[in-house]
Amino acid sequence: MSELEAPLPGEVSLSTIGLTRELARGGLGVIREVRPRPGLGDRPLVFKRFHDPAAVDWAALRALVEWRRSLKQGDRRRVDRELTWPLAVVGGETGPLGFLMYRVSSDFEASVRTPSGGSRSVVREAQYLMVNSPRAARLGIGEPSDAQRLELIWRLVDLIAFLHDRQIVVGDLSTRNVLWSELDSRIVLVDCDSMILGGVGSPHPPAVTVDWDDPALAVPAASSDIYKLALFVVRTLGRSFQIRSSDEVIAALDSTARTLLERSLCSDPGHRPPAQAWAAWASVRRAARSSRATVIDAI
Amino acid sequence: MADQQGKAKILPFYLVVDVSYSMTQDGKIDAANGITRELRNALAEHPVIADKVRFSVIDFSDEAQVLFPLGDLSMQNDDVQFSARGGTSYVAAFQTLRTEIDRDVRQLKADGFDVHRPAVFFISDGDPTDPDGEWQRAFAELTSYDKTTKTGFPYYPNVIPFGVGAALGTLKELIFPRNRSKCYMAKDGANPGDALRQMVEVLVASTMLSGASVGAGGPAMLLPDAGDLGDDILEADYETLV
Repeated sequence: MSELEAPLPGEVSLSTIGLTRELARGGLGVIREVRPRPGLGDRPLVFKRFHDPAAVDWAALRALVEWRRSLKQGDRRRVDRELTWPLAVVGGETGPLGFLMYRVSSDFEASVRTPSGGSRSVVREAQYLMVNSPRAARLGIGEPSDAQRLELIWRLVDLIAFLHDRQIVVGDLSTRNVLWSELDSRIVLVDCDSMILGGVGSPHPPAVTVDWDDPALAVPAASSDIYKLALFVVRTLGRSFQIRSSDEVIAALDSTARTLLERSLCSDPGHRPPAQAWAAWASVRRAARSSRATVIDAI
Repeated sequence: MADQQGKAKILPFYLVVDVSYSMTQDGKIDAANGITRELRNALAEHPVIADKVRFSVIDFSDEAQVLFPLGDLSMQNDDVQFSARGGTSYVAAFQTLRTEIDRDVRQLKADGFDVHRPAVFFISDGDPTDPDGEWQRAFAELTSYDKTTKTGFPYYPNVIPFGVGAALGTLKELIFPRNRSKCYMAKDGANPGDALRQMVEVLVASTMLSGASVGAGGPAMLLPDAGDLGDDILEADYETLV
């Protein structure tokens, strides 16, 4: 089994789970490893405990948990593969405290060289995708080729379309919340407890990462996800943290992608394309690459 | 046509270190020599922050000198090393700071950057040897600006003083702006070298917090919570220092 077993409810008592070391600490909470035990499945879990449980909209968080549980198996597997989704609310004596989620696989970790000669293990955030070549060389971190970057973009595009189709807005799509694997160009989105479920809302007030704001929309919406997706495209291809224009990456893109970029970055949210338009482009480009590969193989 | 939203943001920091002879006592100069190593490691691990942060390193005794002109510290191969000499002229430090900031900000703006207000980490272990009144005048020339008449220094920095032995009355006068900055000092009886090492942690944390928030609309200079300070140091704001 690679998921929580059926009898496990959407709510778990803190007293029934064993916690080990702290893995990360963020603005909203602390993430700790959960000790494996029967009944929790065989995939490693982590517990995100909020600094301020009273500030969490628990009805919205429970709605996220229930949304995943309501999915058909294929969709649920995709969620578990590509998103760090809340699996179960964890409660203590004083009320709900946090939630369980699957631990991100070590494929999404990297070792970086420090200037003093040591090395540090880091989560492979999108910031390591956007460093320029000299900085990547100093970090000793692999620099994906343009083809690998396009594959990462296509995967993110597909995932955003999957979520938008299901009335979910990512909200804070940014450098810190997109992880990538080097070997097989996979994508994982983290901080999914901040996502916005249609008709319900988000468990947390909207947060915007610096330099990933949508100048046209202060409140997250599907069209602001599209704007930020376009920032991801230009910054991933342009190896830059702050650019907002498609000018520097146009040469690497076909005409469809150029049009999508320009429309996605425009100041009128109503003019921005739906995620499905991006997904259609990704599908066509992936098929074209595949067919070229087949021809080469045949020769 | 895609929107051309804003320019690339830069947050300049100036690390100003007292290298008078007394810094050789109690391991203070050794602690100071660890500063750029800690900064380089922290910035290297967070390239998205390193992209926005620039550092200049200045030391001062009877005169001040620029050891590292404003640049990307995380891309340097070597740590900046300090060596002790002479007395403690705050005037030399403040005048050099003003000259450097003025030139650096003008250059960054000419290069097309959106430059945020500079921040100065000022580390000293003793009172100034300048005649009384002179260092206060030099500090005023560094930090005074009248927006109405547009007189003074428009690129005046935020100043965060760190004192390991400096008189509290002096340290207090270096907090700028008085309503938002703080000073850090060694606790009574603490080893000054240990205290300075803990102040380096504050300095690194402030750099990372500020670098991560620059452009978010709020103040570009952020300081860590009092609860995160080491055991040998205290923080104080202008109003709480007598």
